[in-house]
Amino acid sequence: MARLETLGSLQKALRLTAPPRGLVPTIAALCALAVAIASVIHTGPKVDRRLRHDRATYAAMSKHDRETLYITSLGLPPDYFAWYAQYVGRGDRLFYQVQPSGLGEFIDQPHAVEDVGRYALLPAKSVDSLSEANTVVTWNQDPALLGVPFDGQQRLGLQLFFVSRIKK
Amino acid sequence: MIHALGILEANALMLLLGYFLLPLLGFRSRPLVDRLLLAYAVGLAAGGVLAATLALVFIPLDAPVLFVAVVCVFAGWWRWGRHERSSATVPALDAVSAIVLAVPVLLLARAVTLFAVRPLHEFDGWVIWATRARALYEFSGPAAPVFTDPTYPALQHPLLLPALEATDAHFMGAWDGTVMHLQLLGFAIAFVGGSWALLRPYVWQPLLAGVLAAVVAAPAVLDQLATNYADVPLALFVALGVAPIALWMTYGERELLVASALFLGAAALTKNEGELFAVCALAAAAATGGRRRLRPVAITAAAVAAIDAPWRIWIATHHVKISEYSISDAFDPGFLRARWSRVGPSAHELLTQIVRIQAWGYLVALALVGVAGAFVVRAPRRGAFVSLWLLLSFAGMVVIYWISTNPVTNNLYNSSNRTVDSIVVGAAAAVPALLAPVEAMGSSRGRAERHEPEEAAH
Repeated sequence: MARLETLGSLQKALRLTAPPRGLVPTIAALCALAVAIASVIHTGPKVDRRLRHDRATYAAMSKHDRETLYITSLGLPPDYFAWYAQYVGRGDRLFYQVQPSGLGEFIDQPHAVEDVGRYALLPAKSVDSLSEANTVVTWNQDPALLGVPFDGQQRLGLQLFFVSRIKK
Repeated sequence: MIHALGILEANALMLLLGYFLLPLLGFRSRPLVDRLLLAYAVGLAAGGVLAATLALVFIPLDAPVLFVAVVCVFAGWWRWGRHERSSATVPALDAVSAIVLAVPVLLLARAVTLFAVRPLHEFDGWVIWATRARALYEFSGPAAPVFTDPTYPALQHPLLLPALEATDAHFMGAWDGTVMHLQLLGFAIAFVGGSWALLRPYVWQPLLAGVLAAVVAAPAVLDQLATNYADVPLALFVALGVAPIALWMTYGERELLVASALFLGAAALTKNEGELFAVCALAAAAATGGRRRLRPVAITAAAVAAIDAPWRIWIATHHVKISEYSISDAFDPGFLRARWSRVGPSAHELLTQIVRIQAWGYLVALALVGVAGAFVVRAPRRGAFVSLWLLLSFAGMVVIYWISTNPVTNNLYNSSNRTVDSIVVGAAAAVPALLAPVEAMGSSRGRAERHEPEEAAH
């Protein structure tokens, strides 16, 4: 009895909410609380360490590096997309002419360039056929191979990177 | 930093939207802090639904439109919502709950510092979700071919998450993929705050605090949230929608079903699996609630369908197909028989992912204690509801992998660790509701008369 009173005063002192009424509901609720706290103890410190580690990693990067991290992690040089972006814009329908090549374990170069370009070159849109396109984005290929006439073309130095306007 | 302020402004307006919506939707009055916490969850869901729906007609939820929405809801609140209404009696915050609650608060605070600098780094986060969000920002709506042509992946995914991110970009004045993850953190904050404020009057609050801490501390939750994938936002909405139905089985409070309708509707607009989890929850509620609960469940289902309908209509009128599977194949015995060999590996891999302690801690054990506990504390309807929801949801996931045209190994490898999120988080988050006492923890004046104890509802 005295022990129950002590528990009652402890509950009041800590402003503890009384558990559900009845022995079985109390035991069930306490069991669930114990499992929840065990879970927090098991995973919480790891999650905290992971958050701190990732924060340190990304905060150390420049804004530009963070913006292009996905591109560099694919193994593509990001600056080419910045160059393309200067010459494409709203209303453009882009066809990607990309040198066929592997790139990594999960993706080849044409798919990687298109995946990146569909996001990075917005608001220009991508299309999958040359007939729907008004602009060709060329990655390490010769645009003349496509056999369509162009009425304007930008070239990145002497490299085979082009933005070509299709003559309509 | 200035861009992060734009996200903050957008979310502050969504909080206001939710604040004024609370009484209009029939939520009972609560102390100010709880009201604000619930308001953010309601505002995020309502703002997301509004953004996704307006996007279909090429109206962006930018600063002027969101401001007008808040003013309209404020006018409704001024006319109908600000007067005295029934209030939930909320028990005072006790020491144990406060200490336990510090865990998710600290983890979320730590996550803010990471998410503010977290770049887009994962495949789907860039190729699917960020591309759709940026396109919504650039074109104000689901412009062709970005949202209609199979050149672009995952056309079947609805617009809530990208529309919210597009809203943030409008507030920033530019697209900035390096701070966009802060919006994803908003889902976690809405989950913790919304669950706490919504469920606290009904459940034992130390357990509620413990469960919220365990969910946020589960490695998969913040890890995946930082990838700009929609699976964790979906899971958090599903969790916010399922637990109130379980409580409603006992308490019969209207606000619980309103919350379910809103959050399950938002889930349906977050990812296409959201429709599956919402349908399973409503079917389970109908099957286990008894005949007298059928009408309210049907009204809730109608509300969820109404939220989802504009997207479904848009998908149908633009002939957008799910590239990986066709639902009609699930009703083709010949097709199912030919692909029967996919069932075993799919079910096995999904179960493996569900019970992974490295990803979820002890959330599955917690859910099992909750479901078993519901039966021993004489709340069999709640136990049956959550059990049936879990079974239906799991079966639904297996069926999706069964009818998928993707190679099964590749399909499971790429997605099974994420598609189980809603099942695990939804089950764990329902535990306080499963073990809630038959009488609410903070019983309120006149509520006893309105209660329909489970035992009496047969």
